[in-house]
Amino acid sequence: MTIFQQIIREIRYRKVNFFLGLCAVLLAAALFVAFFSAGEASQRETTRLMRDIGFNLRIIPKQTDMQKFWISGFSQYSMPEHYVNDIADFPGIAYNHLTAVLQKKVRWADREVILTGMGPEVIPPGKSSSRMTFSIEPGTLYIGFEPARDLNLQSGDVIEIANHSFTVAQILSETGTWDDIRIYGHLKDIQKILEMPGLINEIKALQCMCVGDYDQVNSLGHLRVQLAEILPDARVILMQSIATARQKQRIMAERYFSYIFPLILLAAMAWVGILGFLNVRERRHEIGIMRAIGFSSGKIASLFLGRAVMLGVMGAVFGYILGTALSVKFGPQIFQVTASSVKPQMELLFWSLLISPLVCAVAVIIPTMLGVYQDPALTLREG
Amino acid sequence: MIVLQKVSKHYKKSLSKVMALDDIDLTVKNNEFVVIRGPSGSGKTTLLLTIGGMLQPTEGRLTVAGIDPYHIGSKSRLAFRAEKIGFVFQLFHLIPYLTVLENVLQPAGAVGGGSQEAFKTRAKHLLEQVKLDVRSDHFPAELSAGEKQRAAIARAMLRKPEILLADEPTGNLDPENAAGIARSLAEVHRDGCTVVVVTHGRDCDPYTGRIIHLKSGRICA
Repeated sequence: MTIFQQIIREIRYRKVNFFLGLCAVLLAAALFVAFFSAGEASQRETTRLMRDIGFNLRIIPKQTDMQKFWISGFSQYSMPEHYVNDIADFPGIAYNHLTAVLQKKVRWADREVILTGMGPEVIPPGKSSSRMTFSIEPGTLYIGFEPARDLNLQSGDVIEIANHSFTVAQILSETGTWDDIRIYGHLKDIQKILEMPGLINEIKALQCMCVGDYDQVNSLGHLRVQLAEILPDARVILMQSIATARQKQRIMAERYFSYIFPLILLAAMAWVGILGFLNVRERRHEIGIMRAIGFSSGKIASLFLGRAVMLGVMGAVFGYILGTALSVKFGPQIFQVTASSVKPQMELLFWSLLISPLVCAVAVIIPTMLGVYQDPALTLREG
Repeated sequence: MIVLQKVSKHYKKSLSKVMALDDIDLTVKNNEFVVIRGPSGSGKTTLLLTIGGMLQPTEGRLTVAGIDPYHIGSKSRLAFRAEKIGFVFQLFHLIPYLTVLENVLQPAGAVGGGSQEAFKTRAKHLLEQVKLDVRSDHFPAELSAGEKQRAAIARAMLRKPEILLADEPTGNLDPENAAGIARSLAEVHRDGCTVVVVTHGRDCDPYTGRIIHLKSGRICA
């Protein structure tokens, strides 16, 4: 009878012990496989979101005092309006929407309002895209909720600001933000009112990124370098996007898993080790008689280590099947964007088959050594 | 031949020293059937395991079949146990997940030498001798105590050892089965094997040439 045949016979005889060990290894392997199968989808989803959404940026004059900027919501300084076209014309940067904005707080009709001039949206040539901001006709204004309510303004009313007449095109609904005291107009009109021709103090760049650099948060740094070359007097602020949030979520999940998985692995090892110890203890007379018959320590140890390796192999295979089934079943619901990338990954089977038997063998080394080197004279004398 | 000269074995237990064997001089000739009798704790099993190369004496010298098992390498000692000695224990120590035939064949895998076919033929022959040939495919749990002990004797004899060491082989058996085991040991002896039996009982007395009494680790008579 070969060692392998004897291992199989013993496993069939002590099914419960083997099954309990198998459960631990299987669950650990399944978790490993499920996480990495879904992790691949998660990574691809982040990449896709990055590619599709890009960065949402605010480009403001370089000398802006950021403390004041965050308090007031806009820069006190200005920059040339042609910066919009400079970005649009630069071949190294892709974008979906660029809008030049000029905004300034002024007193009008005994109240403070933020005059906001919106330039026409710049969209990449040949690309049809839904509008992200207002499209305001020259000579018309969109009035924020507060001044409209206080002055009882209606659409169609004609109002005067700094000796310029405008027609109220729309009354904006309440937002509970700074926008409630804004008066939106065409960029050229607001430049005229503020006597700032050809100047703006912000460019809103939506879905902006460097060409060919889709998948890393670090590409923001690259984008900033590129923009600094084109717009030396501008500074770039990132508006958090879904993509970066997802990226952070994924990184956090990976960090979390990097702590959790070793714990699960250790728990599985401890469990296999304890079961191995019980197995060795239950078989101490068998070990004793084999020593008496003339079996070497190595041959006896191979019975236990071989059993552990078999446990690891079966745990790896069944764990791979379970983990893959779980990720295929639930992965697409979690990662809807890249659902198709949640699929069986054969390399995970390879890694499971490599790691799992090794871990099981390590887990039973101590009980095996204790069993093999116990004094057979003592065990054989036990009544 | 088994020769023990001034063999002692003592264990340290806390601060005291337990003398399991005390200055034993013993010679067992080839093809002798010897019974060692004594009360519990008299050192019978210790003596048997010492002869079998499983328990090194603290003092003294011994040679078994011309070999001092404690002055050879571990590999040689394994070969010595596999080829020269057969063990039979009170609790049979059959491997529960192997059939009777597979248990009897176990020593074949211990060290090299001999074809598997030859071992299988001999195992079947031994099972016939101990009247277990019809039980060869059964598992130990399906056997009576007497049958288990007969299977253990067959296992011990597989490699045709020069010496059979039996530790209380009838201790767990009813009188009828005990008598049957004693007969089996006598048959082994008749086939030319030296038999040393450690026992409380008198089942082997009709077949033995010598009875040695052991008390507190010393030979009394």
